[in-house]
Amino acid sequence: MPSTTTERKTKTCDPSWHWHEPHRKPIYQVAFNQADASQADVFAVVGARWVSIYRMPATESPPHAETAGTAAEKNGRKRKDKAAAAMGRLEPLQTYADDDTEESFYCVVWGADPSNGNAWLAVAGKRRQIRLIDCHRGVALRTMRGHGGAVHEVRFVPHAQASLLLSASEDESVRLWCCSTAYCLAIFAGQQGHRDAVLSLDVRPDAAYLATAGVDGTVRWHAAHCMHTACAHCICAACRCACGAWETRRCRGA
Amino acid sequence: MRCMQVRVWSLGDEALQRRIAEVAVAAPSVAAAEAAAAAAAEVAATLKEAEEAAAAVADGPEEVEEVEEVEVEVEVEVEVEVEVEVEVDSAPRRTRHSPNPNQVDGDDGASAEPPLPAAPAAPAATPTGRKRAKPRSVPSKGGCGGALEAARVAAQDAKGAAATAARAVHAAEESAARGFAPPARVQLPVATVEGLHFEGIEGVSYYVDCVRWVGQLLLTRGTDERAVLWSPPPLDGQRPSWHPVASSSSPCTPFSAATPGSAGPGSATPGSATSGFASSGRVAAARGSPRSSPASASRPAALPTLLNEWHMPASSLWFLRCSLDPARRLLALGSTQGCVAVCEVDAVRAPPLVRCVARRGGGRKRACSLVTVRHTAFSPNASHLVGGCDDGSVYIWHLGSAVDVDATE
Repeated sequence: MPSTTTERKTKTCDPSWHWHEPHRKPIYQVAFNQADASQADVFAVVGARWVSIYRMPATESPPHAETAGTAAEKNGRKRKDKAAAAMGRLEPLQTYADDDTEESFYCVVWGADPSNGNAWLAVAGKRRQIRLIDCHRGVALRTMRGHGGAVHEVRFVPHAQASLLLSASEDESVRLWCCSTAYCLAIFAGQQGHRDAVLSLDVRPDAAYLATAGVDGTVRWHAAHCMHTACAHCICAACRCACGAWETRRCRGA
Repeated sequence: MRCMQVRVWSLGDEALQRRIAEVAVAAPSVAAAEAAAAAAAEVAATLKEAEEAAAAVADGPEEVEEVEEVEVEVEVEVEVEVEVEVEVDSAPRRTRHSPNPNQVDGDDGASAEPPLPAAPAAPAATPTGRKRAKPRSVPSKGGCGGALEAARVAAQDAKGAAATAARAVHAAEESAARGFAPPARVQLPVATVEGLHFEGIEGVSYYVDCVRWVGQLLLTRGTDERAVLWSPPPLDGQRPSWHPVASSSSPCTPFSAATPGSAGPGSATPGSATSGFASSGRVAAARGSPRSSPASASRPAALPTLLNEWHMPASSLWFLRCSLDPARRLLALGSTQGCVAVCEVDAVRAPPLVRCVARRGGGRKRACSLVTVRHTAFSPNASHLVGGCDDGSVYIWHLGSAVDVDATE
């Protein structure tokens, strides 16, 4: 056991499973279901207009892979090839495809239906709209339109009774949506908001704050502000929720 | 199509709160309208079946009993419709008064609802009209011709009812959207933090394409191939604490002995890493030992404190995201070279724990495919790492023991 962390050696890890999605397009996001503890081993993969849902296998590695790996030292190359062939692939539980062939999903997030606990999947991307999928029934529930640019990241607000969704978009804004009605509740943009595409957002676990980051300002006309490019905003999100009684906290820090 | 709206709305938290309350009121109404449409469609389908059955009977008159049976079933289905009493804006509704088995009648009330921008808790679809399906029991006549006719009429009526309901749903949604105040605008962020990912000399800015909360801390990744863990400006009036895993003898901790008056950031910190702070004239004034008491909350300026950083080669691509495990203990950084580095969030200046390689085969001699690992995700107990790549391939690495060993450290 090394005494200091600097002496530690990095280990190399080979994949246990590997497969290609049929579309062969970039996969922009992978997400495990963190909303439902009983389905925590399910993950979604989004790329192009496809959403595939897989279940992580219970075994640690596919059959033959471990034995082949340990025996690889003393055995010949044939054994390695055999191991390569034994590399597992998973079969999807569900697959969704958007009707729009131009769609390219950039982001995915898991949520839960507040009324019955069904697993929800919110996907969004190039076509500026957010699709809400009910994985339990296998239907596309709602479509949230309103963004003027590609949606780069979506997040559910944790602990919310009514499920609220946040989306960060290329149109320099972040929007807060109500999933039950597909209404846009708030737009986080404007005077001191981002000056360019918002690439990422995250909600603090206590749902009090929202942090967003983005491309923000090519230097050209914001020379005085050029330090200010590539910034991260902390925006107060009105997301404190208990049993439908909403309380917005005004931030004392700033 | 840009979405730069110039409408000005009252800012502040009250507006947002009101909006949420409004939507909470509206949600059941929309859901009820949708349910009504679904029920109406179901009735239409049932009646269509009845019609088909009746048509079949018309060919062979010996199955009259079956026709009656079907009609009874229709009646039952329509009873369901009775229970669904929807209150929606029924502007485009058609009124019928013909004595049909499935009668749709209602009082007219298609008045355009004026938008109520500031009314608190204004419901989405004010019930200006009422659509109600009043079915009657289908008269089962002895003759199959009569039954056929009745079934046809019923089916047509049900179709009309379904269409009416669908239109009503649409109208309800539209009126709800119209009656609602536009989204609240939040223009002022609580804090804007700058200088974490930029190159000071040319003013070249890097994209920050990933931001994650680690408890009260923030972790950002930029296209400058760095991921940075930092403490945001005090949001709740106190600075969050952080306890890194690093031996005290290690001279590398970037903040180990940095006093507020020191000339610069920690000596061992690479210059490029902290030049952002230095050149912007905000040298670690707020920097202190994270174990000490929080910095004064009354400090006016919002200064971020750099706590930890990781450098990942070949990751200058845009939209190449890092990921954290659910426990916020591990960090996975992807790259364009088919490699993912798994680091510890709390370990300061430590090499990555595991380097996951996107090898197609199992052997060591196999070359790593130089694919861009766009995004990764940890399994719930951080035993596996799933990575999605640019060529549409998915890899799963079993981290298991490699991660657990260091957890005991």
